[in-house]
This record gives sequence, structure tokens and C-alpha cells, in this order.
Amino acid sequence: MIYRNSYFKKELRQAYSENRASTNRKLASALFLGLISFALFFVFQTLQESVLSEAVPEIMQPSFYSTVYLYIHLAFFFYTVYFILYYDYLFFSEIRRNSWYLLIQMGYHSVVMFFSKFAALLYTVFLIYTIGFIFTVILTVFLKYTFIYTYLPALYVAGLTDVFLIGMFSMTFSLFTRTIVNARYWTFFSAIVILILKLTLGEYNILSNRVSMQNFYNLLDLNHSLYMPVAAILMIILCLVCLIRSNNLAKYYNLPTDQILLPSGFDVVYIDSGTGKRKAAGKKAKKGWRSKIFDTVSTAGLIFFICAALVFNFLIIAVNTSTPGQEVSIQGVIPFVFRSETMEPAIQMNDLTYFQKIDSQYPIQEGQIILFEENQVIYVERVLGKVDDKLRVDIDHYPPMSQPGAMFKTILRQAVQGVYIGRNRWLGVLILFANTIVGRLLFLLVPAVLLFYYKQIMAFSKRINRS
Amino acid sequence: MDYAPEHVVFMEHVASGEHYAGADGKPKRALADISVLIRKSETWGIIGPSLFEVKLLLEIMANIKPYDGGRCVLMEQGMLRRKRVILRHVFYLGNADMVYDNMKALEYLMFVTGKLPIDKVDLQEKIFEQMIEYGLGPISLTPNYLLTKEEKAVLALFAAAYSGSLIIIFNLPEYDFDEVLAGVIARLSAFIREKGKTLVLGSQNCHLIEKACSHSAVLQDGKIIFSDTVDNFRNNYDPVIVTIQDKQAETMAEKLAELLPGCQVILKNNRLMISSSSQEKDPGMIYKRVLEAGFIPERMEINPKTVQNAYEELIRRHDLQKQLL
Repeated sequence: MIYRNSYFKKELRQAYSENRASTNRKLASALFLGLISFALFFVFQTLQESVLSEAVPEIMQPSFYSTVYLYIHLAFFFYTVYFILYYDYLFFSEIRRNSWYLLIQMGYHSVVMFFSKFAALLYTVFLIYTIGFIFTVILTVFLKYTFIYTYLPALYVAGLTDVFLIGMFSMTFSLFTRTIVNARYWTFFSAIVILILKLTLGEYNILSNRVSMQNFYNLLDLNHSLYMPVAAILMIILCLVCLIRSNNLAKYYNLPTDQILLPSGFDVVYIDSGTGKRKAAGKKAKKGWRSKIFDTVSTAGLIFFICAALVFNFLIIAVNTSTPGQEVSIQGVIPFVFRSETMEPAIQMNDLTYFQKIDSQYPIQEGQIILFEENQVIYVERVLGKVDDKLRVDIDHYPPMSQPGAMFKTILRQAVQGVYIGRNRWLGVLILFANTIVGRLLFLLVPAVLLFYYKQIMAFSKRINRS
Repeated sequence: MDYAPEHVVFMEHVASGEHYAGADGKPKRALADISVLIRKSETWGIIGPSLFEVKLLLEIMANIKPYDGGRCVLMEQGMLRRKRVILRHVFYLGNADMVYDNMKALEYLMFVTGKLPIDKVDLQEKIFEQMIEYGLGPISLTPNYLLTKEEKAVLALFAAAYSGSLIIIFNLPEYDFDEVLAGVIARLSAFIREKGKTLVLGSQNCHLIEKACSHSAVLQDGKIIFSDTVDNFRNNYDPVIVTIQDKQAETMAEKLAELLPGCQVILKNNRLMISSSSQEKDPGMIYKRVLEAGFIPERMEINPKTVQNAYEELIRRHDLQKQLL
């Protein structure tokens, strides 16, 4: 016997004509995923002294929890992209191409094929996810953090649930959408729906709590979050819908939506002589409105991303040049990233602060934070009192090991350049991130490439779609 | 294999629901008054100038599209007019996308025939030998994504030949099969007939119909204007009696036109084609006239009668009749 193939084995191969190539690719994907999570963890570590440490401590702490937490989220993102790219091989578009029709005529059974396809998808997802998970844990061992294994099972299951769910959503949509492009949009929107579900059903309250995750049953506890049972119910429903719909679709030969055989100038209408109803056919057949909406939304999203990234880059350039001694004012406001703990809690490390530029007539009040220059050095301190044209100033917070009162000064009113009007903690962290290599790539290089090579990218994407 | 009745496809005055939307606002049926009878173990080639009409007719025949009038009987069982459910005894091939790309040609055939109740080792050996014998050896180990759509279509037909379906409808008139693939289809057609099955193929390739089909139907302006055996088609409609190849073909054409008043002399691809629709059908007499004119042709042969010539003549006559009406 030369070949010993089954439908399940064919499914496991996905896009590859060799089993070995497919297995190697899966293993490589898993390792890549682990490495990327690890790299991302280090990127976040560079933003340690920022609002992120307070807002999302679960990814900022030097622990196994953070690397694995990042991994499960990255895995979700990876699978969304993976499903979009390999959509044609993983899901049910083959029914619409009538591949099942041929197999059914040759003695295959649609229910068996459904379960084989379903099992192959789950197996592939499980394999890549699990290997990636183990690899991330092994990599974290090298960081010599304290190994607490109790929260790992809960994290593993939480992540696996998400990727199974997005897989099933994509599988279901593939049975209802006629074109691959639309189905890919649906996969993307499913990912967003899952994230919204997690947020609204309180899943993140458990996930972000390292202590509660040490008890696996907290993940399933309905008092904490409804996400897990909802996900389980959704999976059962999606599975049943897939089974019924695939079985039903396989009963029919699916005609292509585009009728290319009509000569130009000819239009065809379908007229039912019984009812007299007319229906456009061929080239004039109604094109899906969903497709137009998806195209518009994705194009608008892309334009928004490019514009936002470019605006953000200008802001970064302005802020970066607006360092002590080189203030740049935008509409009378001096922005700069405050890289000190001296004004905590009013201004924290790496906050983006705004100072109103003032003239000599501006009435400075006690308690205001001011920006002033002394001996060609810029300081930010709080006004403690006023004597004639002199101001007594000091910092709010003396770091440990420093001498209290060392920064107390009496300065001339003329030295004051601006008064503090506010801060933005998230913009501060974004600027901090934008100054890392990854940040520069994301905010500067990616939009620039998209902007200047848009046509080439679109042409390439069309070629891929056609092939 | 299931019991196959003698009358496999019977269409009587079948009309399509599809209408051409005319410029005057009056719709015209794409197919009207279609009557055809296809028997067991026959191979039919449906040909016509309109790809749309040929494709539509075969879709209706396979119950892929509903029909709007008349009667259509498949395997001596009536077809539902409005429902397009797949019938197990009809194997319809309407595109080549149904072939999986992530397999090799031979492997794909092994895979699709995997559920047939035949010993797997014997079957695989047979398929492999058959592929080589039919001329598919060079592509047998090629990944399917590297194959052309025509090659994929032939692969699907190969699979269909092994299926339990009694009618195979190969509806790809838009595909352009080369000499090699046409040869493979012809071999497969013989194999299908040998198994007591019926093959119906839609094509615009006269050469393919000549090689692969026992019967042919010509579809023009939404109607069947001819349906009979391929041999009858060639013999009755191909008017070319002899063909002459010579360097002086052009001069010869002018001279012969005068000498053979009852014949038509046409120069096509550097070949002189002498056809007659009246009395002078004797090639010997034509040869005599050529010699009398002072020419000794380099090559002169009696036309073996081709589907291509017959098809062109039939369409020409039909158009002429239409103009007269």
C-alpha cells in the first residue's frame, strides 16, 4: 500500500502536502509563541516604573504568573491570526467548494467528517497551545523566580478555553458566510466578542488575582465569574450548530456566487412561472451588504490606526524634545515626561505632565507646583510661601537615603517658567513604550510602511487570496 | 453497482427559469423546449456557442438548478422541480476546486477511493497503473496546488469513474483541455462506459467530443438543434470531401472554384477544403478535376469527417435559417 490516508490525517496536515512539514510547523509555532511571550514580558519590564505596575500588576511582576499570563493572551491573539490565515484549511469553506460533495459521493459520511475535522482542529489547537505553555514555563525557570505551580492549571485552562472558543466561533461562521474574506472578518469580530464577554462577565477579576487563581475551583465558581459556564454553553451550542449546518450544507451542491460564463451585455433574471417572481441572477445578483460593511469598517480602522500612529509620533517628538532645558510649548502648554519620584503622589514616575507657560504678571499661589530654572537647570517643585518677589519651594517626596530639606530653595519669581496644570499617566507609559525598540517599530515603522507601501501590500494580499 | 435502467436521462420540453433580460424589457428563456434522451452506457457531449446555456442545461440535468417547465426524468425517476438536493446516482463535476490542494494527485485518488468496498491494496495498485497507462504519470506525484484547473478536473473525473454513481456529469465547458488531457478524458470515458455508467460532458472542444463521446447534442439559442450519435453528426454535417495541402494552395483555390461549380473551396490554415452540399461528392472526380487544372498537389486526402467541421456547418446553417426567417 502506497498511501494510508484518512480524513482526520488530512485535516491534521492543513496547508501542507507532507505530514512532517505540518508537524514541524506546529512545533515551531508553539516555540515561537513561547519565545514571543517571553520577549513581551521583557518589553513590559522596561515599563516597570509607570502606571502599568498599578493598573496591570499581573503582567508587570517578576514572576511565573506574569510570563504565563502574557502567554495565554498572546496565544489568543496568535490563534485569531492563525485562524484568519489558515481559514481555508481549518474550517468548512471546503463544503462550499464542494470538496465534501465529492467525498460523500465516494462513500464518506458527513457526520464522521464533521467530527474528524472538529477533533483535528481541537487537537491542533491543544498541541500548539500546550507546547507553547510548557516552553514559556521552562524559559521562565531561567529567570530564577519563585516557582508557584498552584496557579498554573487555572491559567492553562483559562487560556485554552479562549482559544477553543475562538476556534469554534470561526468554525461556525465558516458555515454561514459565502466568501472567505467575510469569514475572516467574522473570526476577527469573534475575538473581540470573547474579550468583551471576559470583561463583562468578570473573568478578568479572577484572572488578574494571583491569589485567587491558586485555587483552580475559583475559576469555575459562579459567584466569581459566569464566563466559564457561558463559554462551555457557547461551545456546546456552536458544536451542535456546526454539526447540523455542515450536515445540511453537504446535502447540496454549492454553486459559485459569481457567474462568469455570461457574455458581456447579457443579464439574466430568474423568473418563477408559478409565482411570477423575478430574481436577479448572474452578474447582477445582489452582492452581500455585509461584505461592504466589513470592507468599510476594516479600511476605516486601518486609516484610523495610521493617522493615530502618526499623530502620536509627532507628540512623542514634541515631548522628547521638551526635556528640562529644552522646553517646547504647544499652545502655551509645556509637556514632558516626568522621570522622578520627587513629586509623588501628585506626579508619579514617568507621568506625562503639562505645565502652563506663564508671564511675569501671573499670580502664583502657595501650594502650586511650578517649573523653574536655576543655574541653567530645570526643577519642578511646590511653592511653600511667597516673600516679595521671591518664592520658597521644595519637593513633595524625598526618596529613601536622601537628606530631607536638601531641595528646599528660595528662588526669584522671574525664574518661574510654568505652573503645573495636569498629567496623563497612560500617555506617559505610551511614550515610554514608544521609546523602546518595539515601540518605535510599532508606532513609526509599521504606519510608515503601511502608508508608503499600501498598494504593494494590497496587491500581495490579493495575490495570496487568489492563490 | 446499483441497477441501471435503460433510460438514464429523459428531458421533454424542459424550460429553464433563467431568462435573458432583453433590451426591450421582454425576457427570453435561456433554455426552452429541451428534449433529449440519454441511454445507459452512452457518452454524450453537449456543445454550443453559449457556455452559459451549456452549463445551465447540465446543471438542470444534475438537479443542481431547478427547471421551470417540461418534464425531466433521471434514472426513470421524476425529479423535483424546485429542490436542488444532491442525488446519489448523479455525480456532478462543476468546478475543479473540490480537489484538495494539500495532497498529491495519486494520493488524492487513493484518499477519495478509500471508502469503496474494494480491497485497498488492489485498488491502489490498479489506480496507479491506470494513471500511468492513461498518461497521467507525470502529474501523479505532483502536489495538487501545482496542477492546472483542467488537470484537477480530470483528477475529479478519475475519482467519479470509481464512484457508485450511475451518471457522471462533467460540466466544465469553460475549461480548455489540451491534447493530452482530452486523451485521458477519452480513456476515462471508455472506462466509465465499460462499467455500464453514463457520462455527459459539456464542452466547446469539438476534438474532445470526437475523441470521448458516442453521442452529441448541439445547443444553439437555447434549443437543441441536433442530437444523435457523433458518427451521424460527422457524416451528415461535415461537408468537406477532400483537403489539399500545397504551396500553391491560393492559386489552386481560384482555379478550382471555376472548375468545381457545385463545390465550395475554402482556404483555411494553408489547407484547401473542398466541400459540397450537392451532387459532386466523389473524391475521385475532384482529384481528376484538380489534375485537369494542371496541378499535382503535394498532399491530398479524403476528409475523415470531423466534429469541428460538422459543428461549424450546423451552426452556419442554423444562422442562415434564422436570417431567412
